[in-house]
Amino acid sequence: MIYCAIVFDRIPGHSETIAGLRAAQDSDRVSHAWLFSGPDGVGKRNVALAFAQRLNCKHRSEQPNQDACGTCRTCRQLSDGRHPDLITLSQDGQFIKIAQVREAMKSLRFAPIDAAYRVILIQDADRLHEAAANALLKTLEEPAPRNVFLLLTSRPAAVLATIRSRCQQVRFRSLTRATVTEWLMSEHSLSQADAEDVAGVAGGSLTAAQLAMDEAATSLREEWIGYVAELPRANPTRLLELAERLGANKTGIPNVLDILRLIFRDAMLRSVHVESEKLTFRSKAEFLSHLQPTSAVSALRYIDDADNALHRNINPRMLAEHLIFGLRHSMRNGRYR
Amino acid sequence: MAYLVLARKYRPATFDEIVGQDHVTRALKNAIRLDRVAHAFLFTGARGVGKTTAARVLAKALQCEHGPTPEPCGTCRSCVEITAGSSLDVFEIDGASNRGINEIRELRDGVAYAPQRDRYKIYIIDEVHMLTSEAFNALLKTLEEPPRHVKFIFATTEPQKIPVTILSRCQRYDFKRVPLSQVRTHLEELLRSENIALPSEGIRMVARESEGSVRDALSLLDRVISFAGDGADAAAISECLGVADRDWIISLLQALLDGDTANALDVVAKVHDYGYDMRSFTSDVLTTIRDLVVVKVCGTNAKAAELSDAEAAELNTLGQTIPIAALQRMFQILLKAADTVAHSRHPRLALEMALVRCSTVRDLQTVPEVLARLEALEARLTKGLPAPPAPMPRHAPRAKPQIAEAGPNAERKPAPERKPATERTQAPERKVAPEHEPVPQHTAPPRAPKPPPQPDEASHATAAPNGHSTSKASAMQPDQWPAFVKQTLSTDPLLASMLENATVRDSAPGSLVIAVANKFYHSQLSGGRNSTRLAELVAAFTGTGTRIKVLQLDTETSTIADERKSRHSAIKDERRNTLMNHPVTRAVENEMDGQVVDVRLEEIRDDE
Repeated sequence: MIYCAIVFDRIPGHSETIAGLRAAQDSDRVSHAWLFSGPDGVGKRNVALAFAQRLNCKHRSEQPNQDACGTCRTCRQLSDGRHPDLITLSQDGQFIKIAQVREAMKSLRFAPIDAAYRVILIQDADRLHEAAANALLKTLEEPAPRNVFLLLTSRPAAVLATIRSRCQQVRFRSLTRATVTEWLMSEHSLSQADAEDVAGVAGGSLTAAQLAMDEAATSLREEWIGYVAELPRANPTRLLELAERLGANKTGIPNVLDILRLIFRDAMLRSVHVESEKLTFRSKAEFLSHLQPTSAVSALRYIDDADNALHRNINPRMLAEHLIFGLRHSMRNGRYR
Repeated sequence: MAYLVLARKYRPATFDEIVGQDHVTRALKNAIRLDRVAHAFLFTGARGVGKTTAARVLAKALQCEHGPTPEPCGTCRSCVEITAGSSLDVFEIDGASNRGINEIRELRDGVAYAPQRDRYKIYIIDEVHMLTSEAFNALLKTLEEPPRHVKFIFATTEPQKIPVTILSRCQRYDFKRVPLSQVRTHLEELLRSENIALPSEGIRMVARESEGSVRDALSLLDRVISFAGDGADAAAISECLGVADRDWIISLLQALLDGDTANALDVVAKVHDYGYDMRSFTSDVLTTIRDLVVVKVCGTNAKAAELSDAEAAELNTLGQTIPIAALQRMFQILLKAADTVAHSRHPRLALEMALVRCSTVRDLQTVPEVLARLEALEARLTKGLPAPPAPMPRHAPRAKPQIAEAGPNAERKPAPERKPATERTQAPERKVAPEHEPVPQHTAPPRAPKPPPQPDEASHATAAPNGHSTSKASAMQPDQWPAFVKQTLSTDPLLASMLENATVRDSAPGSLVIAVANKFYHSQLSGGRNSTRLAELVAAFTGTGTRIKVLQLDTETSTIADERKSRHSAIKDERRNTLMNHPVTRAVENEMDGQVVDVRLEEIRDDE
């Protein structure tokens, strides 16, 4: 990958958040603990790293609104996540474990090696194991000077209240469709139409956009839009065939569920006459406009059920069958208008 | 020097500075004054209400050079060291990091030795709920009878995780959430000493968001000051805090009450774009619905609502058109949704689904309404009909000839014995049943505008909505009938379903004669709501007031319902045939030496 330091200027969206962080530093009000909360894949980590650079960049003049240079050694190391004073905690298996936290707290006993502020970056703070989170509490409340905690989470409600109360919380908005479209066009040179489609699917997340851009993902979407269209009239043999296709690859199921969720969300929105501008698949999937609100909601429930079942390790084939038949049932029993 | 957040900078140093915990601080001060200080304390309460702070103040009060005193000086060596966390005789231990039995054993070993300089050795164990059960048990004996010079202070947010044997050895103090007004005053004082001006509305919002935790309030205040800046207005503060605008909640409710779901979803989109937490938004909406119900039930000056007059008036106008029952249903749906929204990985979608459900539920009728209608119907049935209808033949609807049912089916269907024999023998009987044979009247009734209704002719209704009978006369043509029924289907499906069984017998401008075979339909169409409604609809369709006569007769004429039935059974036959002759079926029959006993088909839907 071509080297490119992440500085505030290059981050799409979040202008207000960034302005706030700049103001906090310029008015010398850098809290020792921050909780960045916002949807997945909108760039929380990038903002955190850029903030770390701005705090530490040695070439930055003290003038307000001056950002990190992005080229000095400190900036580059921070941006790459390999600066000696950058401690990153991320989940090991399902959780961030107490051992990881203890290890990190050990290094907090000493002053930072090189940086003005040591940055402790905790990714997915909602994945802190209960014991780990508790072990963090005292340090998080009163760390030694020159330490800044940056906690990132997409589910602030799942972070311990005692942790939240010790942090200054910064909310990240999801990116607008326009921002994502622009980003896709400039960074990945997509055509306007393609970029808009992908941005709709991505729902304001750059990570999701990157995944959705790929050719396989595009064809998967088209494929399932087609399947859903034939569902109400398909015979049971065909339904079983579809279920088999879905259930064959367990790791692929979440992707399909996401697509189905978007399709039926569109159906739900259409059923209550939301303008087509706001739909994910604007012109595609016209056939869904005949669905009743009740059947769309019922279909979405089946999808949720499948999602939950997936996390409980159910037999994928059974899950797929239940889902496909459920979707058909919903589409038919809502009755076409 | 690095910036200290407000919560640390303004950590209280004396009992009197601790906000909103008078019941605790008074007891502690009295204990010190009377020299009745226990050897083990447990401080519990929500986060950020002053447990650790109180523990430190208590330590200072006991160690202060000026004697154990309720007002520690804060200037002597002991007090300064305790504040800095460097005292040799006050051990502040992080219970969550040092939770094992080994750490507790170490602690116990140290207990025996006298303090270095001060009066006591004080062990403050914060987050004590995280100790392992072995660690707790190792502590029991020491905790019960420690040496004279030892004091324990435990602090935790979760007292329910502490063994009862520990609880019973401690003096327990429960810290309360700080009331809103006290948080506000505290914030105001603090802002004054920081020389920062914020509008009082903004301070109120911060206090409300803190949910009675002072630390939360100060963290929020920090955020407001660094993001919105000195002198920010209320709107900027509410955005910074992520408090959804009240206007949005109101417009969401308005949209829900109007049944304009698209608009409601628009509000959700806005809330989402601003990055507000869907969970707290949902609970805000819930609270507002609750207030709406309270205002509706108790009037605008209800104390229970805790609303300003303007808010109450606003809700009052909002709630005028909607029945309480509907509000309660919405509340229930959203209450359920609040839970889902909190745990879902797609909180926005979960809320959207709930709103769409609200819109479909809005038109449902309550049980009392339905009961009232049933009772009215019952009353009309007993009154309106001279005698209860003679019991219908059990298979009446099949009386009419079925094109496909008997013919090809009998040959192909391999399991005729499944049909009760009685059915077959009854069929011809029904055709001659004499009591079903009324005199068909093929002639149009007299075109007099208002003929006196004949007593024995209960089967006509006067429509003539505006009295003008035949100004621009047009009659319902028999071939228009299906179109009319179809149109009725959208406005009055119940009526339409009866009309499907009727045929047009005679029609002239201003009058219409239709016939039905089924006695029940006949009685339904001949009087009461249905007949009036039918007359209205026909009048609307033809553009002229029309008298309608309903005959009951049993003839071969095929009605819309018949046609559909025969069409469906033809399709069914075809499908049955295909299935029977399907190679797979054949193969199974051969292989298994079996026989197809029954073929069950799905009901055919209209659009097939």
